[in-house]
Amino acid sequence: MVDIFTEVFVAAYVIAIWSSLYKENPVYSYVIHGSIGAVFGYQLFMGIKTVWDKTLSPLMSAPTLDGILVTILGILILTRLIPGYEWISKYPIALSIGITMAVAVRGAIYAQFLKQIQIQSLTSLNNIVIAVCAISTVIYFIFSREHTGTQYYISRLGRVALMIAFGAMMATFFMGNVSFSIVQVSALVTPYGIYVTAAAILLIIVDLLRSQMRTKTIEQTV
Amino acid sequence: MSKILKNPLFQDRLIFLVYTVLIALPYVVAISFPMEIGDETRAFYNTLNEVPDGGAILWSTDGNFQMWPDFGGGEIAIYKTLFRLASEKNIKLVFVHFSLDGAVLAERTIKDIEAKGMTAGLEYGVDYVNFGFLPGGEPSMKAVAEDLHDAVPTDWYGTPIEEIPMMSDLRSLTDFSLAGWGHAYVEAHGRQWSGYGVPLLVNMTAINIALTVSWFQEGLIGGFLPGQRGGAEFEKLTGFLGQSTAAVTGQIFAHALALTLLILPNIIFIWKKISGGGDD
Repeated sequence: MVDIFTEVFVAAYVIAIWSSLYKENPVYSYVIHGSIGAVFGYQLFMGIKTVWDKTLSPLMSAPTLDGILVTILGILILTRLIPGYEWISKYPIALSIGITMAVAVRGAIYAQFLKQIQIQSLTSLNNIVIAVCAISTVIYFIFSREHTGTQYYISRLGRVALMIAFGAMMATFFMGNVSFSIVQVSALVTPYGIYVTAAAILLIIVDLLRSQMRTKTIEQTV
Repeated sequence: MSKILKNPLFQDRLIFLVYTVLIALPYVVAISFPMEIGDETRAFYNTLNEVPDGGAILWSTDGNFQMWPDFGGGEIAIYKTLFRLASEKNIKLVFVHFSLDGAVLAERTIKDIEAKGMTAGLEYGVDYVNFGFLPGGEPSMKAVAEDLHDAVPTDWYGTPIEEIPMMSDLRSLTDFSLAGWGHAYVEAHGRQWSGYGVPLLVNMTAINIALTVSWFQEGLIGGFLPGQRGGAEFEKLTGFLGQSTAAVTGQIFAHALALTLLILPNIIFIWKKISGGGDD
């Protein structure tokens, strides 16, 4: 029974969201608003649960200086809700962003800079391509000097390298988005979901016929 | 009829319809294509299987619900492989997640695996442990790498880390034989977990494959699963066929449609230009 309900519900949900591809309709609006509401409700619940589990509960059972400090900073963020005291919230936010940035930059220097600018040797075609493309792309972004002569040709090569890179990124972006729809479509062909799909197709056919008949009537009237 | 076909609204709907039918087709009719295993997937598989007997693996599922259709298939196959390795090679598994959705998805995956009896012979707390969600992003990742006991004092169910037997020897990232994560990006974990000399693996969504290749080529990560395709390849290597394998044929059809829609109109356009016809 649960399986039947789940399959029918998921299929109806997917079709309701995809129905916007056919045309705007109230079912789509209800479902999309319901989804946003459900997500926010879930996030709120899990957020409160996390604050309780990770901070407040340990603080009450065994208070520590770290725990007290973090709780005070957390409460200070909420001052942005009090008119006239919004400025106080900027301090814990600045501290939080500052720490995150510092930790990220520290890791980035090794992993994203030092390690990635090292080219082992120019013996393989791959490494030669990387070196040539990297240098020509950097030259493409030199705007303090007019791109003439040799620099013109190198910067053109850099532009081609950028186009290839963006093309590859666009292709993988497409691939990723196709994945999202493929898994959803599987819900439409489950043993019980297929009935919902059939009903949706029937509705679309009826709507198309109705539209056509209405157009004919208007044409005859005119 | 020609008038209807030239209507952009009809054209859009026709494309959506053809697209939907094409990606749904593999679920209705059994169609499959031969699949070649990519270098990055093979490297991922080999690195995972090279973990020595008695070693320990740290895994983090950090995507969100929206990303799950893309990297979820691979993630499920990875979890099954991890538990198989735990059974066969006495490898300890530690799960800690830096995304709330990821923690929920990981717990569901572990529960499913337990329900299927794939954790037979393994004991929670002795062979594997799930620390659940740890807020804080990159600073938390760094904290886990430096001192796991300080960063996560209790597991997902509230058991203090001191009371979890397997955690007595696992204090920082250097105590692990391997670490990995499932996410859309390689950067955050990569920044905080590289440099410890521990092999790293990534199961990722397809969207950022291009940005991950350089990490693989420079040896910062031991391998990665590039989205649904990578998931399907990994499922084939491990024998845990599932969500990604079923979806990859749909991927091929969708790409074929995209290529057709890119190439065909251009051929028609050029042909009309040559034959002296209009541009419409």
